[in-house]
Amino acid sequence: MSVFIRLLSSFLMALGLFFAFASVVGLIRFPDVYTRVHAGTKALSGGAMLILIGVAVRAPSWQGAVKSVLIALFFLATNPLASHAISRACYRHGIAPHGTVLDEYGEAMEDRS
Amino acid sequence: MIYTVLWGLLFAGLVGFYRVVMGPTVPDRIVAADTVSTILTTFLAVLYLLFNDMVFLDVALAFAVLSFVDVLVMAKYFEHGELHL
Repeated sequence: MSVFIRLLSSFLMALGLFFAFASVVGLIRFPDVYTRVHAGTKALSGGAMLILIGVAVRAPSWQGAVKSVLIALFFLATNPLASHAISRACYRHGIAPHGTVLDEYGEAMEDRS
Repeated sequence: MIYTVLWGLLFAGLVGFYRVVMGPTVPDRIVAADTVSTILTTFLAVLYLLFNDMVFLDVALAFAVLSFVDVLVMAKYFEHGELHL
């Protein structure tokens, strides 16, 4: 394994670890369900994808690299879907966002019903 | 470097687990459980580098699919109070 590949993989993994820590700190510190969804899912999907691409760069066999990239693509497809489902369920359940001034989605839903 | 990433991911998962246990409302716990499951999937993928065994990546892929379906079902149950399958 050449030095360049090892260095690139370590850099990607360190960046992904930083994103994971930022996401978890946001999960603890933010005041509201919606901001926690923002911190938990968006930052973490980027961080997890960076770590998985780092694993794929360093992987000993090409099958492992392909599987790791496959997991990263799966995160890219499903993580926004899950966060959208959670925040939609919260809004429909009646939890108001923290500190909102204007709520156009609620007005549109009332108009439709 | 691999050990640093493993310990860092473990610590991040534990801090996220604090929100699962102490979350004030139910959707907080759902969001935190989603985050912890993503961190654990990444942890399994890094364990593949440590042990050089392909089964860790298979388990990580299955765990990612299961946690995704899990979060969707929990969100739907929280929205309606029952499951309209």
